[in-house]
Amino acid sequence: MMNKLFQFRSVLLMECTLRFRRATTPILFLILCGAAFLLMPETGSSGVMFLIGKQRVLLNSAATALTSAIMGGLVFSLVGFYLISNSVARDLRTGVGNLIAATPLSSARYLAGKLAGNIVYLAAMASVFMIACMGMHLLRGEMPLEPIVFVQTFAIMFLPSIPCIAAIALMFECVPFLSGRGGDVLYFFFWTITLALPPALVFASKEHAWILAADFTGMGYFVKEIIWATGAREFTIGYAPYDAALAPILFPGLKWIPEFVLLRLSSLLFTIPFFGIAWAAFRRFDPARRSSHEKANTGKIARLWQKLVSVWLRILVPRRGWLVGPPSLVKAIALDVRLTLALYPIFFIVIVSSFFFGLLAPMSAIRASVLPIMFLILVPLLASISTRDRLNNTARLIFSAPCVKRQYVLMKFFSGLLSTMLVGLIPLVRMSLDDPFGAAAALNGMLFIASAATLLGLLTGTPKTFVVTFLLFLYIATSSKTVPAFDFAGLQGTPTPFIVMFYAVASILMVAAALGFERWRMERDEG
Amino acid sequence: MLTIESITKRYRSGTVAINEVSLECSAGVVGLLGPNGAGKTTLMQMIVTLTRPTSGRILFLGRDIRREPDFLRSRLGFLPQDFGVYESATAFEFISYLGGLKGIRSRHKVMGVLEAVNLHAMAHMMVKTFSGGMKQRLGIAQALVNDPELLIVDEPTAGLDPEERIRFRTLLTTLGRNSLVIFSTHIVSDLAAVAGKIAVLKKGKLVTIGTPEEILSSAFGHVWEIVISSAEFEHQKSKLRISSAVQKADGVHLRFVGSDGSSLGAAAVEPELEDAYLLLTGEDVPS
Repeated sequence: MMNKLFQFRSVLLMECTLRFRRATTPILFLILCGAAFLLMPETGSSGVMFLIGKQRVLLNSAATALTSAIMGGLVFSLVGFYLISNSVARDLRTGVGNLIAATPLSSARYLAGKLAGNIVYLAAMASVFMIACMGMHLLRGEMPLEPIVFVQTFAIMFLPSIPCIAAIALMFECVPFLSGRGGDVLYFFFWTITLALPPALVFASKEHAWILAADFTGMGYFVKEIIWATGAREFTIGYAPYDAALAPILFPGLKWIPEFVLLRLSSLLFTIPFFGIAWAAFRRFDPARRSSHEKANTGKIARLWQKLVSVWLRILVPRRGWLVGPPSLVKAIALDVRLTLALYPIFFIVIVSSFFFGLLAPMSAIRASVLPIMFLILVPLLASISTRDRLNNTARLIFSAPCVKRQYVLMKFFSGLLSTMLVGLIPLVRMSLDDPFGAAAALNGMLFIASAATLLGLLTGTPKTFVVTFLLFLYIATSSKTVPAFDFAGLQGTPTPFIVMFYAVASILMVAAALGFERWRMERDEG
Repeated sequence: MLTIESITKRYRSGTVAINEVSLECSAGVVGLLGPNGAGKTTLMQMIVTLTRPTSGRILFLGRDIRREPDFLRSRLGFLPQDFGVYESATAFEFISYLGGLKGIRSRHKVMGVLEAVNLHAMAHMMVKTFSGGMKQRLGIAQALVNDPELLIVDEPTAGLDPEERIRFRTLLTTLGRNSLVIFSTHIVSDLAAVAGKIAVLKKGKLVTIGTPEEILSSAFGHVWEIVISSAEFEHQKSKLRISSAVQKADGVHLRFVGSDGSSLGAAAVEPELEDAYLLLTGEDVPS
């Protein structure tokens, strides 16, 4: 028994050591402090984070703790997943998994150690965020700080959600078809549903106990608590303008109704089935089962598909003809796009689908559905373009080719932009006939996504940074109908020339930053 | 100590990586030789319970390792060919971690094994600052941390400098006195120095197993040497199984294996292990 505990402790300790020692951890702590700062606007500013009707809520500890816990829970359930969903993958990628698999450590203990390590990491993040929010309350709160209220509110939010997120992340890593960047996008859908469904059911008074129990993000629970505590069915959590003529309301705090609390804590139990699925699907780094999954596309249909792709590629980007001759940046870009098409055959389906939808869908659907879905699908693809060379250790080989090393950033940026254009061309042409300014805004959005993918990919070396940042941004952009500043691609039909100009300048600045960073890195590497 | 009873490994794609291989090994160093794709790595992965045989069974100290994998794992040291390390851990942390998973809690033990591979001075340095050879030695250290009764090492000398290679070979010889060491390599001279037994694999099948002397004796009368002109060498090189060819002032000094070299005017010479390997596998001698 002691040995088993010692093994569990070893996995947990190593997981924590590796995570806390990463250079990104202190940066994340700083970002969390910055987020706490942004979450609490100064008293007297035009907007607040908690409104009941049009009345602002007085900033007492209960109100501050509630808004920060809800906003924190919302972000943690998305960003937290992407932060931690690499613990088993790391062992696979580094090859340490082979060493672990040959020890007497059982798969269950290994996964339990990973789960615990991820819980500790997310709990540390949540604690830092809570302390930062308490600090901000001291600065901007309108009533005294009550630390116990903060601890209680954060505990009821994060105690069930963090273990659930950790278990879901583990499940996504272990189940073959959920792992990888396709799984990253799938989780985003899962997150939006689990975030929106329980509160919607509570508002519609159709909540079922099991739905609230399954509400691991805690949104349904908090909506229920707020309705219970204030009696109001119309309230806003998140930055919004208020009516200054109305007197502020005092939020009395959560009522801690025992059955609500029990129901909330019962979502902790959902950790068990998610962990169970992870355990059942975990292959203990067996190379035979791993390769059968990786080589799943060796069947007859897959081979036929690959042939079709080859024919398509030969037509689109021929090996001979204009690609032959002295090397140049244009040829390097074309070859990089060709590689993208060859590496991700599913990209063809996206291009063909976009072609047909762009031709046949009504104009209103192009803006409201086709473009957002296109951006969503492009996220994992663009994330890969700017990171694959370093992740697969092919960067040095590529740099040895003429015309590439000094122009690597431009090659990656234009490769991403061209790939985006391949998908978005027909919808863009349709839009330009009907709404030229909307088409310009959409084109600007494509420029923005390609430059963001290039900068974040090169800066961090991992596709996850761009995936999580852009998915969160896309979620805000598509759900904040009243805030045109987020409408980066005219998806809401609300961009002004100033907003279009702002995102165009932002795109140029991001490419410039990527160029500067890559130049600095090359000079450092060359000594 | 280790009994392999006609094991086969067939992948889902239909490829047979190991075909009806049987072996019996007692304490000592057993070398595994074979060309690329012969199935050496797959065989070792099955022994260390990383992957399961499609048929057949493996017994360690009389216990079926498929039924009792932990019986073997707690007595096992394993260094795979493509292992990795946590770059942001120190050498001490890394060995403590893998030692912990094997039930080793003693800090002295961890330091001792780092000393055995000459890394004790760098014990508290981050692994990311290590050279390729140092990482290889770290891999060797983790394989030794639990005083294994069965040590399986796949290409362990790749990346080691000559001095460290000799040090490692000595270490293996010492370990082989009480434990079973299975040592796979492409470097035949490494095996010649330490292996008490050599097993040769080819296309998933066991071609032969025997002492180095037995393997050598099978090549007697089949190894030839001749000095020929460069033009003649160009003509002959595709027809002969060449063991070595050295260009000197008087022509190309050619050493080859085959049943009859006298027709070319070649002289029979005493075989070396590399010649025997070439003869058994019918492949080029690995460099």
